[in-house]
Amino acid sequence: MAWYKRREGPLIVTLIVALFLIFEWYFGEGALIPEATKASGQIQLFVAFILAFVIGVGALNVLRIHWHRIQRRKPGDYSWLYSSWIFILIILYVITGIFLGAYSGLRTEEPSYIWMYDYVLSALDGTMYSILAFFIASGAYRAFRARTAEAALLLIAGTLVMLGNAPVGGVIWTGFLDINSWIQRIPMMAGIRGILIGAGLGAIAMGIRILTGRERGYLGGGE
Amino acid sequence: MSLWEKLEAIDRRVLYALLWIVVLPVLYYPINLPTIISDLTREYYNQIEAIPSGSVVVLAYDLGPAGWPELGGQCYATMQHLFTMINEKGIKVVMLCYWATGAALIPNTFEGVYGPMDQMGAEYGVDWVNLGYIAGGEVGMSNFAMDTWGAKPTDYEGTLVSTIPLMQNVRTIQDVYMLISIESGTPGFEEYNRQWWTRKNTLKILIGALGVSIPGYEPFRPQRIQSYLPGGKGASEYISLVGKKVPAILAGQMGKKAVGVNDALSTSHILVIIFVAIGNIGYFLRPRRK
Repeated sequence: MAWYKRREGPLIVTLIVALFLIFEWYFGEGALIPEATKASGQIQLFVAFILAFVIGVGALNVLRIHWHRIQRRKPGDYSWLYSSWIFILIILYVITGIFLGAYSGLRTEEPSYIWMYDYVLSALDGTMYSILAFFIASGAYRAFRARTAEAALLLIAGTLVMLGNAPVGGVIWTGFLDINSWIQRIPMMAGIRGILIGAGLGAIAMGIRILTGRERGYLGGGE
Repeated sequence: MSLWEKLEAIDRRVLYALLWIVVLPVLYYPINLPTIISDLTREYYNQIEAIPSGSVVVLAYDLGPAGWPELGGQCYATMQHLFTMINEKGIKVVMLCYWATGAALIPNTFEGVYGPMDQMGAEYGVDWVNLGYIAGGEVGMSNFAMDTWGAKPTDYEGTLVSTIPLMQNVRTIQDVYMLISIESGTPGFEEYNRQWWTRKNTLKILIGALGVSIPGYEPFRPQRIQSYLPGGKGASEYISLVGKKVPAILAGQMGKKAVGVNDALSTSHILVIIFVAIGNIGYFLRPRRK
């Protein structure tokens, strides 16, 4: 295999950068080794640049995928129309945002761009999120059944939290607010803290595996 | 099918239709159900009132249009409250966002797109500044914590931050007194916690939260998060508090909307509870098959 295709290179770069950032975390700040903090800042700026570049790559990839779908359209399957619509909107939005910007693209003052944001993107995005209310209502009706003792407990706790969270709950009886607060501060907190501590330990383990080269999923590829 | 079995399996479209019926009218014609200010909202308000004179506050719009229906009231009232504090105590406000979609929401809020905003004579660049979108997510936060100028060399208008008077004294996270993040996902508090709070463990943090995200914040209160506004309910409570200082906010579009949201939350929750009760009655009373 050619040297530039081998995985050792990225693994060594990852190890060096990670060890340096860990070193900076413990010894850089507080003027112990201020140069390390400056270098760390520079490395992290590279990441921001790479991320900005990746957005462009991602947009091109979306265009490529949908272009193929438009080309391979089959009789009776009209899903290519959605792909065409995405294709048109991406190009339109990019042209409007980059080339029609009033202040060399730094500030999105172009009225047509703002109009699209305020009256198309905002409206659609808000609607998509708001539709969840219907699914939550339907889901609660179907899921909250006291079929077992555990389900009954969930039903009671869920109903009390709903009454505590709804503005009218406290008006009906202020005790709902206290019960809601107790459920959130004691049983729920115990569960969430357990999950958070478990996730934290998992993240440390994953970090060690990446540092030692045992975890290679982030490099992409098959295995 | 018996009556009880029918109650247990009501068509979801009936529930959807009823939800429309109980929500829509009160959104447009609020019935002004009473609002009880929760301790969380009161603490959020008091923390902002207690900001020392001349302190720097970062207001982060880490949300997109999807979160705006629930968080818009919080954004609007928080910004209005901060402008009153600029006027009263001379605090300095740095607005920014780590969500690209949040960048347009900042000017939309203070330019009065969503209602009248009283800037109380605050001067841009001296009392407040809008840095706009900072790229890089968590890495961008880390950069900002170490070197604000390096992380965002220009403000939203393209002016170099090194020439902005307010930014002369905002060089690292050590210069920031409080972070107020109104957020609807990642990056958000978890990333601020890792990159900002760990570098300055006296940093005050207030969160504007979606209702569904509350369980994630509760374990960090009150040591790391001083308080948070819980969803639309928190927004309407907070608007009623800020409205005592700036009555115009209650008369504006956002104020009226907050009352409507408050009522809609109540009616929709009651409907869901009624349906949960009906479903369980049907479940227990339906004839059992052997």
